Amino acid sequence: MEVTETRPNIYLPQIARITDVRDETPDTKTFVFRLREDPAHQAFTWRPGQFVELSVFGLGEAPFGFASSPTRKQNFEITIRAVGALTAALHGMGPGDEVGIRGPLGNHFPCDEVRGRNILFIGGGIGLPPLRSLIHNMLDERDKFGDITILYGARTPTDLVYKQELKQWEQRGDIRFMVTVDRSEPGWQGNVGMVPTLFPKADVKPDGTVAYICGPPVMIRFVIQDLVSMGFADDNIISTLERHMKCGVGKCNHCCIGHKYVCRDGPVFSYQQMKGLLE
Amino acid sequence: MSRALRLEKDRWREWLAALQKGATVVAPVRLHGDDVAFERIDSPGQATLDFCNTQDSPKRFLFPQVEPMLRYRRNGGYEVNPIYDQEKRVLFGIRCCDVSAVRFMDLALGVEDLPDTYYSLRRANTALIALACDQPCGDSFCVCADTGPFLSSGGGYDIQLTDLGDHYLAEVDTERGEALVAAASALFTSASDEDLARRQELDAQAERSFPREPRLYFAASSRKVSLDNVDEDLWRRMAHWCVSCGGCTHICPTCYCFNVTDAQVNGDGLRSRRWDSCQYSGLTREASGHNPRPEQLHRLKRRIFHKMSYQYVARDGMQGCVGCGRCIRVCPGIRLGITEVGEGIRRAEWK
Amino acid sequence: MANVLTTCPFCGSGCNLYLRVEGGKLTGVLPSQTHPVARGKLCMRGWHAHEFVSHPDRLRSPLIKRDGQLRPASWEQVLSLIAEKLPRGQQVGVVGSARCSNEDNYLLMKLARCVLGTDNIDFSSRPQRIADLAALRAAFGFAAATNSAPELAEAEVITVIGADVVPEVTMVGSLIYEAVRRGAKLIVISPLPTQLSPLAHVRLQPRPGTEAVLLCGLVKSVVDQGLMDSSLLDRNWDAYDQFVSSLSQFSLDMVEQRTGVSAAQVDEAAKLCGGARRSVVLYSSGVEQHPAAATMATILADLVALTNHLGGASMGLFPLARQNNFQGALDMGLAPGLLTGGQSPEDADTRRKFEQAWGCSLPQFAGKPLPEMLAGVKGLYVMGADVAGGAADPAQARQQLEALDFLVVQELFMTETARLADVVLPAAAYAEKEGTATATDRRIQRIRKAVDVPGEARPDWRIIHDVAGHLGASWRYDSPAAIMAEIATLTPAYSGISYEKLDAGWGAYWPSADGAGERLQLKGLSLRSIDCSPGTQAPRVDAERPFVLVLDATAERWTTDATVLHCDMLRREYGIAAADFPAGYVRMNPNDAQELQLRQGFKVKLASAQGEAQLQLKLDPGLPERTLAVPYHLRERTRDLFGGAAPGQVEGHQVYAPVAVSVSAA
Repeated sequence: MEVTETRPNIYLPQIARITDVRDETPDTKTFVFRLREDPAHQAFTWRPGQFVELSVFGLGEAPFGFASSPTRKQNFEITIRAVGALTAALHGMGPGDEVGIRGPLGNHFPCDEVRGRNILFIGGGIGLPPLRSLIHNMLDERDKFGDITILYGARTPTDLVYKQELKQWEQRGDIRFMVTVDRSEPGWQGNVGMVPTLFPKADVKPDGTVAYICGPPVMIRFVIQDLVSMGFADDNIISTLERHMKCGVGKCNHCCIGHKYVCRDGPVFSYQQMKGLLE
Repeated sequence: MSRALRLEKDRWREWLAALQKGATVVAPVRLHGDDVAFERIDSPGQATLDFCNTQDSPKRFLFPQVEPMLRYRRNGGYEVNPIYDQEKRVLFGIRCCDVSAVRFMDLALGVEDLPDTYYSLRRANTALIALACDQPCGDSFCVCADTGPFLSSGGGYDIQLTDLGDHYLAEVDTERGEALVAAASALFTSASDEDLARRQELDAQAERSFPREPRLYFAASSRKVSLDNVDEDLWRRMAHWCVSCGGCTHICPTCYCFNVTDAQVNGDGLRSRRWDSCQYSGLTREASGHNPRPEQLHRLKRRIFHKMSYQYVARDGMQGCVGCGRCIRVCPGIRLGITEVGEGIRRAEWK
Repeated sequence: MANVLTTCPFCGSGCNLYLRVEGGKLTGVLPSQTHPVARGKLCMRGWHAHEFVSHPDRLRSPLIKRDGQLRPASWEQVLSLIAEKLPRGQQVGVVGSARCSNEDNYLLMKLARCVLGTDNIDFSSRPQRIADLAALRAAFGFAAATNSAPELAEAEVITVIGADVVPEVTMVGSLIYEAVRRGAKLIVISPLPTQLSPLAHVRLQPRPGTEAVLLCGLVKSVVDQGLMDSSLLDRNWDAYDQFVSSLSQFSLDMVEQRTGVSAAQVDEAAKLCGGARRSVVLYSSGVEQHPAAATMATILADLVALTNHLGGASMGLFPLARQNNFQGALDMGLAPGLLTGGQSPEDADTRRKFEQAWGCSLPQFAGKPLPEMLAGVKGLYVMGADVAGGAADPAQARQQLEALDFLVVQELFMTETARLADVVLPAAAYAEKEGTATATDRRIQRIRKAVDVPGEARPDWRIIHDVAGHLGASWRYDSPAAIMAEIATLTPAYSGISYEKLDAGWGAYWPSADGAGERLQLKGLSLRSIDCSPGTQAPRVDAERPFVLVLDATAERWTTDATVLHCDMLRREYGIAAADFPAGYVRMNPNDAQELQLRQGFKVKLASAQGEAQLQLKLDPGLPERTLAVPYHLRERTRDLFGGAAPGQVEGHQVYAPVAVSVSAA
């Protein structure tokens, strides 16, 4: 008698439809998705920091982090920069087009665990989207957290994502939001300088604050150094690691750092954990 | 559960014939020259038990070199259909090191919360009839890895055969093993106490006759590897002997790196996976061009870390290297089988 | 499921492997443990030898060009069109393949000489070898490796000259690793770094362009140290005295001055190489594509003759054929004035033998080799060769192909050459046909069919058979085995070769009749005088152009191969350099880069007296300072720097001599 596997197929994508596309920068768009089958859509949820493996059928799969919060479940959003064949193909798609989705995958940002604490978000360029997932989550449950500070920087004003939303954050009275650019452009009135230049202006203090950092690897390295020298504890510094990924479920061995799998033990790691990783 | 039976020596092919009625039988087959490999047999006459070990482990039958995963097509919207291999198989004549390798793969790929569907399905439909080794075979060092020359109950086999001279001892360890016996129960009788004693004797004798080389001193080399206590220059000098073929990982019964690609086949889309290797640059090379393992020495280090670090033993529940010795034979650079590399690490020298 | 034993289609090592077949499809490969060269191993290419066979881009239908587009047609249509349009005699040329089988090449050769009446016949990898092969033939009477590959594992001394063996002919490299593991001494002679260099006991890095002088020095040192085989001195050799006196024209001090390699090092290498009994010398493109290739090959032939490293085990001279059937293509007579097994139509008995067996006259004129052939003909029939992409001067080859009246291309994939064709014929891959191929060490082995052809593709021999039929021939070959039977009767070196014989063991060496084909026994040795007086081909460097740029043909040749690029994994691995350096690259020593304040990936401008080029910088600590290397497959990008391909020592041979350049940030 044959034995059949009864557990779900971890490699089988569900179908999602694009419901909306928003331009963020010349090479970045936000895609809004909804799983095509209603029961699947109802059952689908995730934690900020997690990611999906998105299939563009015929080209392959790639990992992308959620950019929206599970507190707003009517759809989910992913912000994607066009860098290769798959993302270029995606950028050519619009509402009604279908993709494959596997997920949610990976671990997540600590959220419930940091209730009551002061929160500091530091985002660089295309690093803001995964942080946005947690930001929205915390904003939707605002009273559960202490002070929330969001510092964001990009190369130029054109490269800032969520431009309209940033303005709304600036106007909120219950968070502190500051934005900066490395290089100014005509019409830019705001801060100019790398993100760490905002620290003194934002009055960043260690005192048990939990810091979440996402951005280019070089930026993360420098920011972590700064936070450590400011007195942040290693396990209060949270970031994400990236490696070339394939299966996203801890099998193919592409994304290993030592015995850790970025797709299973990450992509979220504390600085404490990162220090213990052997390449 | 375990029960010991006797099978007359010259009737094992009759058993195969009976097994063929209910499953595909995969057994060692002599190919050209002295090559012996596992192959699906059409008739029992094709199988041989006159071999040391096959040059290829039966890994392919649980984890193929190329495996289709799913098909997709546009039918209005997209339809995606998995492709399942649900064939029933009996792996007959598998050695104890390779049985242990299957046990490792079960642990590594069958993890409770994210089981590898394709592997699990094949595994669930595969029975293992092992053939214990009454003498060491060429390059193996199973005595160092605790994976042979004989296994005891719980070692992973459904049935373990021992050649007792004029008959085989068949140690039946699982319900599935019982079903395999039941397929030709007339061929089996109860084993005697002498049979069991002889089996113990053969086990001890085999173990004693392993030569001094190759050996892998797991404790000493694993310690250094786990603590990252190996000079980078040592890795570099070892890597001078590497031709980047990936053979060590392809032939290894516990290696399972894979790559996934989509292709169009007759209008349908086909997603399949194929063996990849930590010895290949492209495994970790990122789209930006950055590669965290840029040189062959980093990749050699990675392979050894995955095979014998404490971190991985803790993660998987068992060490990856089962002492089959195949990486020694498959290496075109001659020296990068795990035992010689292990000795280099242990002694911190490489001439 | 089946395991079909066949010969790997990639390099000249000639490994055997099993193709795994399930449900009519190739699902993987398995090395052969007992094959004497493979010994249970495969290189990265071999491990993926199944992949290109089932690639979706395989040509599946005959194609005819109409209105500038290649469109599907029937076999009947293409065969009729070929019969109608393909010129004959001196107007037509035929190009065969170092990757197709012996049977394919033999029938193509017969088609050319017997049916088309032309001696314009060649194969696309031969032009690079014209010079060294001619030199070997003059010295030994044949042009091939003197010993078998497996013997390398038991050599005492191995000398590798102008070759990066491991990436190019990997399993031969493995046999060298085995020998060194056993205690063999390794001598590596090359201006460029090679994978084996770190293992070398003696490493000679002459300045680029001075290699011939260095080899002269090596031979002189052998003589001066009295390392010649004394038994040979009793023989009455032609021109021995002349040979010895030709050595006196230079000294090791002069060699040191010109090459940068000290006399002590030359003496050490000579002592090892000349002093051991089981001493082998291997070479590849660093010699073949050198401006002084013929001289260098002559020197090497002299070296092994002098030390009598011929006729015994684990010794001799080993030119490395980089393709799986380069040797076989040569053996099948794919060259003007060459019949099978090195036989010449100028010998009256040989001519008569072929004409009688074939029932036709052989062409009376002497044909043109590549690349001249392309300029001289109106029509061309190409089988399994990317004539445009593989030419020393691809731009010129392209122009000449475009100017043809009629071009037929028989291929697996739509290569650059196929795109230029008037007719494209879809061919079978190695895994889809029966046949034989001859490895670099003269071992003839079987290729066996494992799966069916895609679409309407056909085995090459079958296509040629049908073309011949449409051109009026009445051939009756019912199988490749029958073709080999004919080859065997006409070719003394291949006499006795049959599929039964090849199937019984692991192939057979030629000459096969007496069974001792592993080692060629040479009669009538002579020493050729060495003329190192033309000096070196080293460019003059000065403050304005302080770097020497070498076009490196010794490695990375698989990078642009169509069969490699249609294997997913190989495409990924071999494509990394191009992905990392999309604008092309030149390799430089990091110290030089630092001095110029340049970093990895920087765009640089190279300028020689003839022209300029822009490339990205790739740092290579193995390069000597002031030496730059550009891979051969980027020769079009650097054409102006070298002033294009220049004629070498032998007609038909085109080389790129090293050139002095300046480097600046672009």
